[in-house]
Formats: sequence, C-alpha cells, structure tokens
Amino acid sequence: MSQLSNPMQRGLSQKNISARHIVAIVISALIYGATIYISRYFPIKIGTVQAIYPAAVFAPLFGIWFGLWGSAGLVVGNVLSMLVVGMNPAVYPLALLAQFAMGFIPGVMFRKVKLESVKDRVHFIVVVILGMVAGTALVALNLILFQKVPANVVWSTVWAWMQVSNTLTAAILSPLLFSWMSDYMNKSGLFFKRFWG
Amino acid sequence: MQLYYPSNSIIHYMHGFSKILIFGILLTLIPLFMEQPISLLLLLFLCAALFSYIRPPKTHLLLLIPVGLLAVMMSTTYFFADMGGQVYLHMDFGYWMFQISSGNILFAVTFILRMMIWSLLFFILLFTTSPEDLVIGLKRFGLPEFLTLAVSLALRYWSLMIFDVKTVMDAQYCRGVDFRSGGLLTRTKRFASLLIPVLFVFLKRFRTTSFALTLKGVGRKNKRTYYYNPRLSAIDSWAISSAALLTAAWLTLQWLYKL
Amino acid sequence: MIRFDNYSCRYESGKEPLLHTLNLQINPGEFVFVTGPSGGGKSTLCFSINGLIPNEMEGSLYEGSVTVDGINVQQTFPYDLVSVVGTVLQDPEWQLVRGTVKEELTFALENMGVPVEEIDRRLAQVAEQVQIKPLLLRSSLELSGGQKQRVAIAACLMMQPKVIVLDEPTAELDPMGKEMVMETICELHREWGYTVVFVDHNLDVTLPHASRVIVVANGRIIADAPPSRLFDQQAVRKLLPMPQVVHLSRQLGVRSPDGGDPLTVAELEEELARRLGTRAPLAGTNNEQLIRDEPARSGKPIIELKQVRFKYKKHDTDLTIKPVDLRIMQGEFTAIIGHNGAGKSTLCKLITGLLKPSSGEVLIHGKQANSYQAEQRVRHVGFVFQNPDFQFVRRTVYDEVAYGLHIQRLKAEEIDVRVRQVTKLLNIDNYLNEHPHFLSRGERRRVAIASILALEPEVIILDEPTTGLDSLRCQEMMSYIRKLWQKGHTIILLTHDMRVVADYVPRTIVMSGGQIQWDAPTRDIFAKKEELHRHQITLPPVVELSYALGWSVPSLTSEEFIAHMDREEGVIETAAEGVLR
Repeated sequence: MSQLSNPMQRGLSQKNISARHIVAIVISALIYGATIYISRYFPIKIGTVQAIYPAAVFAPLFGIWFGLWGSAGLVVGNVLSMLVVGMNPAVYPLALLAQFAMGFIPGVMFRKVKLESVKDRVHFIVVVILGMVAGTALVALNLILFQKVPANVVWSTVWAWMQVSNTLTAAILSPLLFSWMSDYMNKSGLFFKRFWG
Repeated sequence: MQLYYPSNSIIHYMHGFSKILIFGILLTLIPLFMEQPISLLLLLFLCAALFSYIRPPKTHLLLLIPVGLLAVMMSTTYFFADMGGQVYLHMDFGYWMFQISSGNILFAVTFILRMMIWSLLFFILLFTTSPEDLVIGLKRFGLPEFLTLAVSLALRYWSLMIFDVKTVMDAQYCRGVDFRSGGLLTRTKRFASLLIPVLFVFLKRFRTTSFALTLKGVGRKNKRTYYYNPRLSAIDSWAISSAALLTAAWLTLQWLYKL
Repeated sequence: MIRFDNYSCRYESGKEPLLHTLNLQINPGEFVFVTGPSGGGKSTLCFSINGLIPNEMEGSLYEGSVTVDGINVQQTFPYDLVSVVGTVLQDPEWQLVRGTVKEELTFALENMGVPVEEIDRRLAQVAEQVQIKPLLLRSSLELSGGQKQRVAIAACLMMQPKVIVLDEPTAELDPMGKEMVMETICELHREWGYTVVFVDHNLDVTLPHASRVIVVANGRIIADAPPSRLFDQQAVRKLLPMPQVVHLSRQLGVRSPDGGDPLTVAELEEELARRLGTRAPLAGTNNEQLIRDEPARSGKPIIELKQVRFKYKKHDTDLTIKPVDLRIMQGEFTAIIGHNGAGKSTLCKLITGLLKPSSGEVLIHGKQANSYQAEQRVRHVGFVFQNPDFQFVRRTVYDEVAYGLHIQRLKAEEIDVRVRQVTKLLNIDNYLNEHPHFLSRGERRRVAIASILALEPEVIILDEPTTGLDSLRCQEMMSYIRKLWQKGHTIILLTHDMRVVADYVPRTIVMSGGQIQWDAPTRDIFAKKEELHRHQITLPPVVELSYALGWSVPSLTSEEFIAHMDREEGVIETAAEGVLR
C-alpha cells in the first residue's frame, strides 16, 4: 500500500566502511583538535589543569552524532594535538582510550538527535557523566602508570579537579550545545542513526 | 602540519615503519625503566646529539619551548605529595598540601628529564618523516586502511583547520568580541561564540569531503594498489636491530643494577 | 551518452521534489552548460549523473532512471562509476584529499586497484593533457585556487571517464583562476572530445564556450537551447540577467549572420563593424559628458595609512605590505582589486585592527587606530567576511543581528529598533526567526552584513560580497550595498568581479605585490588596459568592446555604451544626411 502511495525508491544500501565513516572520523578529529587549539587562547588555569576543558564538551556529542566513528575521531584529534607539542601518543595509551570512552559511552547509550523531554535530558546528562568519569579515571591511570605520578596526588588533585574541568563542564555545556545543534544535525542529515553508522 | 623538512641525514632516508618502531616505541621504553636522574641526563644528551644531527631549522627549535613549559608545569604535581627527603617548605590547605622537599625536587627533575627525552625522540621522528611516510609506516604496523586514510586526511586538513579557526576568531573580533578580557563567565560566553561557528564551518565540509572521497573510489571492494610503497632497506634492518639490542641491553642492566 | 528517463528525485523529509520528472539526452562530445538560479536544481542534476543521488546522499529518493554510457546510475555505487563519470566539485580546498599533487592524481587509481605501470602511463599522459607536470611534487596547500581546480580536473582524467561533470568549479576563484579552469575544460572538450556537463552562474565567461545550454529552475528544465538562441525565450529573459555582450547586442539590435546573439566581444565588434560599414570610424571619440559622479573627496579623511609596512613573520625577508599611504574620505565608495595574494585582505585587516603594522601609522579619525578598544573600533570600522558562516553564533537571524549589540550592552528597546531597521533595509526582515545556517548563500551574506551594520560603523569593508551568487542575486546584493552608501556609510569593497566595479564603484585601488599600484576614479583605472593585464586583471566585456572599437575613454556600463553608440550613430547619420543634402 505504502509502495503505491510513494512509488519513489531509495538508493542501494551501503554495507562496508564508506567515505562517510572516514569523514566522520576526520571531522570529529579536526573539531576536537580545533577546540584544544582554541583552549590556548583561554588561559584560565588552576595549577596545571585547564579551568575549563572545552574539548570535553564536544566529546559526548561526536559519540552521539557519529557513533563509533565519532569516538574514533576523538582519539585521532587528540593524537594530532599531541603531535604539535611533541608529545608521543605511545606514552599516553590510556589517555587515548579515555578520549574514546568519552564519546563511546554516551554514543552507545543515547541515540537520539534531539532532547525531547525532561527524561531525555536527564538520560543525556547521566550518560555524559558516566563517559567523563570513566574517561578521567583512565587519564588518571595513565598518569600513574606511565608518567609515574604518585597515585594519591593523581586521585586527590588531578582527577578531583578533572571532575570540575571535564565532568561538570560537559554535564552543563554538552546538553546546551547538543540542543543548540540538534535542528541543524537533524535537517542536514549528518546524524548517524545507528551507532555503527 | 609542517613539522617535516627534507634533508640528507641517514634518519631522513629510513622507512617510516623503522622510525616509528625505533623512536616512537623502542627508545621511548627506556626512560620508563630508568630511575636515576644521572642515567636520564645521559640519555637526554644522547637524544640531543641525535636531534642536532638531523639539523632542525631554527623555527623548529622553538617547538621545544612549549614542551619544556608543559614538562615543568606537569612536574609541579609532585609538590602536592610527600615524596620523602629533607623538607624545605610545607603548607597545609585542608584536604590538600604543598611541600618542597629534596624527594619532591628529585621526582620533579626526573619527570622533566623523562618528558624532554620523549619529546626529543618524537621530534626526531616527526621532523624527518613526511606525513606520507608516517602513514605508510603506521600501515605496516597493521592499522586498517580506513584508519590510516583518516589519519592522513586529518594531517592534510590540519593547517586548513588552524587557518579557519583564526578566521573565526577574527570575524568575532570584528563584532567586538575580545577573548582576553572580562571575568570567567564573560570569557566562557565569548569562548562559546568561537566554538559554534567552528563547529558549523567543519560540519558543512562533511559533505564535500565525503563526496570527494567517494568520487575517488573510496569504499570499493577490490584489492587496492599502493603506488608509493617503499621497502625496508639495509639501513632500516641495521637500525632496528641496533635499537632493539640497545633496549634489551638496557632493560637487562636495569633489572640487574637498578640504574 | 547521458540519458534521463522520466527521472525525478527528492529528499525523504522534503515536500517539494528536488527535480520534477524530466527526460533529457546528452550526446557524446557535447559541452553542456547548466545554469539557473541558486537552489534551482543544477547540482541535483549533476549528482544524479554521478550517482551521489540516491546512493550517497542520505535520505534521497528517486524514480525513473539515469543511464550513462549504458550503465544504470541508480543501480551502481558512485565509487564504481568513477571510470565513467568524473566529477569536479566547487570547493577547491576540501576536494583535494592528499598531500601532494602526484598523490592526488594517483589516489583514485590506487583505490581502483590499477597496476602501478598503468598508473605511471596515465600520469604521464594526464600531466601532458592538463599541463601540470611542474606541479606534480608540490603540496596542494601551496597552489593557487585555479591550480587546485586544475589538479582536481586532472585527478578526474586519470580515471579516463567518458563524461566530466563540473559543479561550479570556478565559483570561488579569482578571474585568473576562472580563466585557467575554463581554458583547461575547453581544451579537453575541443582536443580530446570529452563530454562536459558544466554548472556555473557566470554566463559572461562560459556561454561562448558551450555547445548547448540547459536552464534549470525550481527543479525543472526551463530551457534547452544553443547559447546564441538562449535569450530568444521569454522565460529565460525573465529568469537570468543577460551576459553583457548579449545585452549590448540586443539593445543595439545586432544579430549574428545565423540570426543568433553574438557571444563574445570579438563577435559583437565584428557585427558592429559590419553594421557601421563605411561610416566614419569611432576612434578618438570622447564621452566625457557620460562620466558618472566622481568620488566625494571633499569629505574629512576617516581612515589614513601613513607609510604602513607589514610582514607576517619577523624572520620574513619580504614585506607582505610594502610602504603604503592611503586616505579614505567620509562617504566614499572604493573598490580594492588585485589578484590573489596582492595584499588586499592584509591591507583591510590592518585597517580593522586584526593585524598590527610592522611600522607606520593607521589612523581612524586622526587618532591612532590601536588606541581604540575592540568595542569602540567596531563603531568606526566594520568588516564583513567572505564566508558568513565564520561569524554566525545564534540560532535565529534576529539574535544573530542583535549579538554584537548585546556585547555593547545596549538597552533591549534600542537593540530591537536597530535590528528591525537594518533587517528591513537589507530585506531579511521576513526571516527574523529563521536559523541563519538554513538560509541561501545570498541571504546569509545579507545577515552577516546586517549584523555588522547594526553596530552602525561609519566604514563597512566587504570581502567578496558577490562571490558565488547568481547574476540576479549579485545585482540585488550590489543594490543593497549601494543603498548603504547612499545612506552615508563609507564603503570599501574587496572584489574580483570587474563588472561589479565598473557598474557600481566610483573609486578603485589596484594592489599588486603588497603595494598600491594605482588609486584613481574607476574610469581612469580601466583606461590602463595593458597595465591591468600585466597585473592579471581582466576587463569587463563592455570596456573591452570600447577599446576594440577604438574609443579612448571606455564605457563602464552597458547603458553608457548604448547612449554613446546612439549619440555616435546620431552624429554619423546627421553627417551623412548633411553630405546627401
């Protein structure tokens, strides 16, 4: 019946990894890298930690918009920002995994392009917080295992502050930015409906 | 990202794979298993010698400044814990404490030395390897095609991205937005005024890039040809063996004598 | 070669089809020029040929079929179609995906699994065809816009396609870049017999080269005719402003021997010469009385540059801006022209304070420019960027225009008044609640201008405000800008569009190599024909024609030219009548 009322056909369905998936990685990586770049112009630091880490705001969004591919893009973006300042990504394996987690966890748990109800909002914030807590824990572990920073300092100072600079910032700003962009993402057709693309 | 510069050092002629393996992994492992500052200092000199051998241009030398600053800043975290030794200064801030002691200083110096060694090694890799060779090197490590393509695209677009971000900042400045004044809230708001155009500018390019790749045959199922596919040479085999031997020797020495 | 059978397509979410049902056949070896208003369906037509619709563009639906060289496009993935249809996109920067030119050329063949020896063979052939051999080892970042598009065309040819589809490949290029791309395409069509589908707005440049023109508007083919017969159709005349040569020939009642419109300056000149026959030559004629109002230089200087020098990096040996002295008076309308890299944008960034001069002084109202705070400065000088997307931060047009006013902490009532005033002036008051990113390119530019205009700057600098707009939108945009000038704003226009300069701007500054070469009334500038060519500046057709007819002072607009011709013909006829008597 619907066939009769709408005789128009869809294109062929794409099964393998296509240009769209690769570009999702690249665009996420570039925007993520760009925000880290812009952070330099926002010189409010508390000790060694950036007061607000804007890249954290984007991480859940790319996981949700572009699924697995956006999460992979966060890793590539972070590697790029490391290259510029001569930081060897090989020494930060858990920190790279952390970037992935910050996108992956919200991405796999929340697959909508819009926040339509209060329940959606709460769900969104919870998944963002989960992703951030897991991600920051991995960053902390990297500091302990590879940079050999004492564990008590990492957990009491660095990780504690990251809950403000990353988790809290993302919990407040990510939903705002997500709502802000939802119209565009919806109409432009860039949103990946499935996590695997 | 213009870190690579062509020159005629032996390292320049090596395969990307060898350089990633040697400078990015094997030699990078050594400082992780080095506890004594004197050993680290010696290694730092060796790395500096290698670094000067590749004769980086003056502008590239400047890149060591932010790395140095970052290392110093990160090393300050040691002063928030008691790492033992003679205490010169101690301050309590309730939950946190700040202490300057011989132990803290020793750990901080060790950390800075380790960071500088890693950076020098990594710069040797980046300065002597073109993005194309870097990607070919990564591919030899078994990275999937789509990921190496994504990395090479990100490297290709990086400088365009920096240019675009600067233009967005200029455009906002022309509307009276000043990023270096005002309180935390004002700055945060102004900062957000940057992120949104950046996001749109890049998302709008999603389609062009995706179409461009598809129209160049990305996504086809056939076997791919590699037009530029350099082979590992005798220099590579020699260099990899030496680096592996050096790493193994050091790990043994470290295990035996705790150097 | 290409065949559309009862084909139509639309977006799943859209109400209106992108293309209404159409039937079309394009024969091998044709050069088809597809034109029409923005958003009318030109790109959709292209993407239906290369298969991006429906197999790459998410949510697109189709009915009917398109076949290229016997292959059903809808049943083939676009990446499998690349050896039949080659495509060049609009954005010169982002469609090149590899680091060097050579890598760019070999990339598609690597993906297709072509053996290395064959890649080498094709590389040698294409480098010869498109003459890019010297560029092969260069990074694509170092190339000019025109060279980048030439590389994109070459990359297409590597796949040995039967058809080349070009979607507005010259829209973002300077005149030299446009010429370079056109030359390459024409050569490929003429010498190598490629079937070309070329989408563009610029009728002045493209029309003479095409063998057939298809006009697409509102998703329908409005006209399909040979270029010289295109404007015989009333629907086309309503939809598209005529290219200057066609406009002039129609005004003068000149037709080619085949009954069509002359399409080039040379053709029109030939017809005019034939028509004037043995009449007295027009050389040396003066048309002083037609010269328009010259710039109001009597006003107070608002911007002054004194011996300003600039270089981007301390260690650079060459100056980007060599010592420049410049004075812009209140209420002037000035164009700054010059090829890419001539220093136009750098000069304007120095004026707006985005860059600080290495030495010399930039004065605004006689005061050092850097003594103004960012907020104060925007009240004196506003800069509208070429790409409006760089500045949009809000979700509605209203909020976007009000944004700068909020930064200045004005009262809500005043903000409301100013927003409504400027949006009305620029005719975007119907879109106040629309998302700026969903407006057309021309509308987005107007929102960008409005958001600067709302700050009430005395000087407005506009960077390429007409680039990428179709002819009608270009005329509209320029009439808005003229309106701002008439309201008393000082306007500085950075542009590559010489027809815009000739039609609207009284004073022109020519920049080259970081220096001001000439600064004079526009007519005097266009009188330097040979010198302008040396600085890679092409003249508008009407100016070329004036010279071709041997006039010492060129006409700048079609109207001037026709008035001049009428006068001349009147003089000649009176003289002839006198002789007869």
